[in-house]
Amino acid sequence: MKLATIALAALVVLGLGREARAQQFTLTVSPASFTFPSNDPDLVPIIAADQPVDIGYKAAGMGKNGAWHLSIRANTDLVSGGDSISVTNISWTAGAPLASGTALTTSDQTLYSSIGNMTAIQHSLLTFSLANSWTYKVGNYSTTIVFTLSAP
Amino acid sequence: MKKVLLTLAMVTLMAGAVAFAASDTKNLTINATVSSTAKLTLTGGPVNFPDADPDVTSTITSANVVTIDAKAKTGSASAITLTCKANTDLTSGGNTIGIDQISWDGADTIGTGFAASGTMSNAADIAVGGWTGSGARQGTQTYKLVNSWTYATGSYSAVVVYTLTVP
Amino acid sequence: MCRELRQLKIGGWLLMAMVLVAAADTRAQNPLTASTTAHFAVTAQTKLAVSAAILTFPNSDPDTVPMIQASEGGVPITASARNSGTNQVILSVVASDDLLSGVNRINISQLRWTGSGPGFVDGTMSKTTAQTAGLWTTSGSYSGTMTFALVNSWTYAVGTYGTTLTYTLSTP
Repeated sequence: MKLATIALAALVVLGLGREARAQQFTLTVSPASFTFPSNDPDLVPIIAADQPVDIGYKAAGMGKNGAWHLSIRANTDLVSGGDSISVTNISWTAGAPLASGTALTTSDQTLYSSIGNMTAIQHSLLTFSLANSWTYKVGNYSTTIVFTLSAP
Repeated sequence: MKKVLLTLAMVTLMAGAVAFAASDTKNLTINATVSSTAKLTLTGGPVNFPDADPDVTSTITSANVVTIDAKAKTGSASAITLTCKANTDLTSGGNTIGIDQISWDGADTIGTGFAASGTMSNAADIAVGGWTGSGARQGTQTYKLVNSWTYATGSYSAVVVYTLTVP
Repeated sequence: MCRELRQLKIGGWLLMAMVLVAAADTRAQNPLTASTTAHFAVTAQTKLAVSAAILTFPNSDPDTVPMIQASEGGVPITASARNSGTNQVILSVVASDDLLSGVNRINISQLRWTGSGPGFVDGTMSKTTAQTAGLWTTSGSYSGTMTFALVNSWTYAVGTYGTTLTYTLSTP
């Protein structure tokens, strides 16, 4: 009776353990902020950010066929009080295997998709650029760029 | 009262100080050339003297009034002269009337400087007008011919050359 | 009894192992997000391009050419400025003096221009007060042409006249 009881508990515990084994995502972004320096639009039509952004990502616990992807979006346009600069003026180049993009939007765009597990955190650099223009009004503009690691 | 005056002074001082956040300047050089120019225009000719009884009309005045436009660009202290001279006496075939029988009365219509009168010559330039510096002047000449019973019949003519000289 | 005890020990170890395995699993966040902030400071800025260094007005007959055009044609101008959007962008021009040739002068008010292009306006030159040549209300780059003409006159004394125009593009 005791052996049966112990075995039953083991089976229950084992079953519980299988349900608790979920995907494990690791995502880091550095630095916390970067700047597009102000420049003469005639001389610098495309402004490069003052530093690249390092993305560290890892997907584990996905199982052999578990799909996941890494995406990017902006929360808003570049905003300064009541003035704004469309965030689509921001583009980026990414180190492989991440995809580069020509226009940032407020909707998620896929940087990378894969299936299965990663054994270690992968780092890639993103260098952002901003299309320059004389039409921009004076102000201190900012937006938050959000990276998302997710599984369907 | 003192407090009110002080406030007004401060407002005036602030309003007068207009500061621009950004400005840029560029220069452009302007050059203009004015060259010595003479332009002479005669209207109203030819001058005709109708036949008349010398006892009644001792001096025949032409109905045609010659209008002269003398325009010049020159130095501000430069002298401008307008003269006239006949090529010949009044001539009709083999007959002549001395050109000095012709005279004129002059008048200014724009500016001043036309000679009030003159007697024609075919030997020397006769002054019609004179000016100093640039300008557009206009005047008139009313021609007269001394009448005489000694004139042989005929149709007499002569050419008068006007010269505007601009340094 | 010994057999039961042995089975109990095995079961206990088995149970413990299962618990340990279950304890090693963590419930991960899905989706997982991280962010960075992009900054861009736009400051007040002006940039003026006047695509001509010299304009020359040739001698002409005042009767046939009452207004002398510059030999070089119109002056292309590009006025670029960034402002707050509520202040004006102003292009003004003033002459250093009348047109001078030695002691002779032509009043600078004889120099006029017509402006073409959005925001560019016509005007008459002055040596005492800067005249507005262009006016805009917001940031941008504005291109146009100023075509100058000099009133001709028989009263001008002979000479080679000159003066300098100074353009100023400004925004508060």
